[in-house]
Parts: sequence; C-alpha cells; structure tokens
Amino acid sequence: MKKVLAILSLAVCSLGYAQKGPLIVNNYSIYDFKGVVFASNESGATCSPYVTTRDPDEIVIPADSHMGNGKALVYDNYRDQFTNSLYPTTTWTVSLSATSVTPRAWNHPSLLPTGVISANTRWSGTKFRMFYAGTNDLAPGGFDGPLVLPNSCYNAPSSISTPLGNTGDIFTVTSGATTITYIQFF
Amino acid sequence: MKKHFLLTAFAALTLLSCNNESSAVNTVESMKTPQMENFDKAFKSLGDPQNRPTEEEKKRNTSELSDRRKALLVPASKELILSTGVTESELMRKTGGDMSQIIVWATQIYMKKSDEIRKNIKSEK
Repeated sequence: MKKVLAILSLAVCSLGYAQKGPLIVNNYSIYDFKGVVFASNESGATCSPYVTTRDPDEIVIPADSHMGNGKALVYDNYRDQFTNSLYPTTTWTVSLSATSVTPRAWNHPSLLPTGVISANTRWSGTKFRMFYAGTNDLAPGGFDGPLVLPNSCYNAPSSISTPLGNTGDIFTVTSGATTITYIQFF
Repeated sequence: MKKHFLLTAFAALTLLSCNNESSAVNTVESMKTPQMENFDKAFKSLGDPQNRPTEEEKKRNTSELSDRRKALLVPASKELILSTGVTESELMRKTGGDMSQIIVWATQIYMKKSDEIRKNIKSEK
C-alpha cells in the first residue's frame, strides 16, 4: 500500500521528467568504458525515482564504439533496450525512495515505456571508469567519474577533461516531445 | 601427388571463404552513405578542443547542448535529411529551420539507416 501511495504521489509531483527519447553513448576514446548509466527524477527533495543499470554488474563499451561503426550503446527505453541494444541490461535497480530499492527485470510491468517509472524519469547520467582496451588496468590521467546532466540533486559535472586530453560530455537535444540524450567520450 | 594438390586447393578455398566472412563484418562502416559518414564526423568533432564546452557554457546550468555546438551538427544533419529525398523546402516547412528539430530528425534517420545496415549484414551471413 505504501508503495502504491509512493508511486501515485510520484505521478503527481514530478512533471517534466519523462523518458522522451533514446540514450546514445559514443565511446570515441581508445579506452574501454566500464560503468553504469542511470535515469532519475530530480524534482522535489527525494530525487527519486532513480533507475540504474545494476551495480555491481558493469556495462562494458569497448574502445572505439560509437554510431560511426554501429557499436554505440543505444537505449530506447528500459524495456526495448534488452532486445534492441548491443549492451542489453537484464536487471534495473529501481529506487523509489531511500528505503525502497528493488531489482527489476527489464520486462517488469513497472518499467514499460508507458509505465509510471518511465513517465517520471529521464536519462540523466553515468558513473564510469576507463581502462586500457581489453584489460583491467585503469586508463591514465584519471579518466573516470560521474557525468550528469545539470540538476539540483547531484553535484556532478556535465563535462570532464583529463590532464592528458581525454574528455567526456553529456547533453540533450530537444525537439517538441522528443529528447535525445547523448554521452560522448573522446 | 594429386591428393596433395586437391588438399591445397581445398585449403585455399577455405581460406578465401573465411576472408569473405571478415569482409562482410567490416561492411557496417563500408555500407554507410557519405551523408551518414559526415553526420558521424560532425558528432565526433564535438570533442575537438575548439568545440569543447566553454567555461560560460558549463555555467549555463541546462542540459541542452549550446547553440554554438548545435550549429556544428546542423550542416551534416541537413545533408542526411535531404539524402532521403526530402526537399529543402519540405525541410524548412517541417522544422522552421530550428536546429534542434533538424538534429533530432537526422539522428532518427541515422539510427534507422544503421539498423537496416546491421540487419542486411546479418541476413547475408
């Protein structure tokens, strides 16, 4: 019952944060990306729901994987990414509040594109570390971190650069009802 | 002797066929149209030092790509849209010249085209 109330109140209070288009991750760098991507609602004080690819299972986007060679990570939504993406996420971790953290299968009804979670979260960021291709050796220069769209919940940059010249960026391009979220590494 | 010759010929054929396979794998990139290639290049160019977000752009506190950086994506996006048979006047009518609309439209075309290429390659195998 509590959960139902939580979900209902979410539906009311969090307009403006909805999944309105795909997430595209282009890794143009020579390093392997290992990390998670997440979506969230950053309105209100609770900063939830928060939906992330499941820790500790990391997504690995190999060096030089981007739209140009058809190897970009593209997630249309929580569900369809499982069948359409090269990097399928089997389980999402869904936080409705600090005390309600639940693993949810990709095809769980609450994660449908028309569902209440999708309607109240937007793709918002990544937490990652870069590694030498094919190894577990960290890339030089501290090529890691969170990369998050500007918001009032998480104090994290939307672009980073290392002393060695590697960079990362997250941004959206919005047209009418569609928002495409891009994350790019160089 | 004959047997050896046949074996060698067979081995050569096998090698050839394996070669073909790897060339089929490579075609994701080789099957792209020039317009798709330019669209890729435009996105990649956002990482060039002069195209990185400026200090001022970082402080804007908005998710949306800045107009300066959007402008870098527009020419290639237009080209890609026009390459599907859309005319310049249709493009202007539909988007009103709005940069975001042009980029989103082009991205959707791009994703569709590269999906088709991937499917074609799969069915050839």
